[in-house]
Amino acid sequence: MRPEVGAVHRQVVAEGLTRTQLVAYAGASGDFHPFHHDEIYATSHGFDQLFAHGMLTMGITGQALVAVFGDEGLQRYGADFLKPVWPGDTLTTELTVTAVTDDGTVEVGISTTDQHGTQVLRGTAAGRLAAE
Amino acid sequence: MRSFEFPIEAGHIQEFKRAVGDHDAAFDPDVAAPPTFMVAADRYDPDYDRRLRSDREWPPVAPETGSGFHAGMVFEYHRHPRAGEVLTATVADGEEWTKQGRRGGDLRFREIVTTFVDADGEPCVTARWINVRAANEVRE
Repeated sequence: MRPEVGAVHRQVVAEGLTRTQLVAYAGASGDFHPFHHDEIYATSHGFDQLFAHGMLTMGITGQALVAVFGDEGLQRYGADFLKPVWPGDTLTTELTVTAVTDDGTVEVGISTTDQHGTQVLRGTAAGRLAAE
Repeated sequence: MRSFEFPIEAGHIQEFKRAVGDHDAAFDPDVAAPPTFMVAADRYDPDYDRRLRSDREWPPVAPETGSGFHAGMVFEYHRHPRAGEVLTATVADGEEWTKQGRRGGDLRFREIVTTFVDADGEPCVTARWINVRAANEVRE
């Protein structure tokens, strides 16, 4: 990604999200809320099916940030969870440079959308770009 | 406010990276934690209730009874911790604010702030968990 306002990095970060990945995330994160692995519990509480942790969507989106900022270049990463992410969803993240400061810090807007074009996550991040 | 230790383990990072989509992540004893890894500190939090516990009912409280939803998260990185470190996490209440929802009712937002410091007491990461619930569900 070029450190220029308006430059865009677009990345498919999940293709056909599986229930298995939700379970793997529950184990890795320690968040075993039944909304994210127990279909009966989720439907009995008004949802069509179980759905991904917001933090899984944020973690998946983080792959695009690591691609741009490297493993240790991020200074800040914030996100709002706008819509549920369901098993089977394919997610695409778009990072757009919104500012470049004199000290080389690059600020980006973050948008992750599903296969229908619905925005499921919106956020911002800042850091130093990884060397290409 | 409460504090607990969070050992940053290479195998845990490998498991976490695989779970967020780097499915072939290899074991690396010196790996840096990925951007959202600090949330996995919850397993070491003695007060955490999104896991089976011998002293509480399962499943945890459902949203219609007022626990709300996770609406967002912010991480500020002073530096990125690496495998082998032991951080100390301190959890505290953050800011609260109210905003009108799209369906007319007020939404009550609440921050839970976790500050991670390293073995020298130097700041490493600050994490802000933002919870939201309908104001008319809030029980003080």
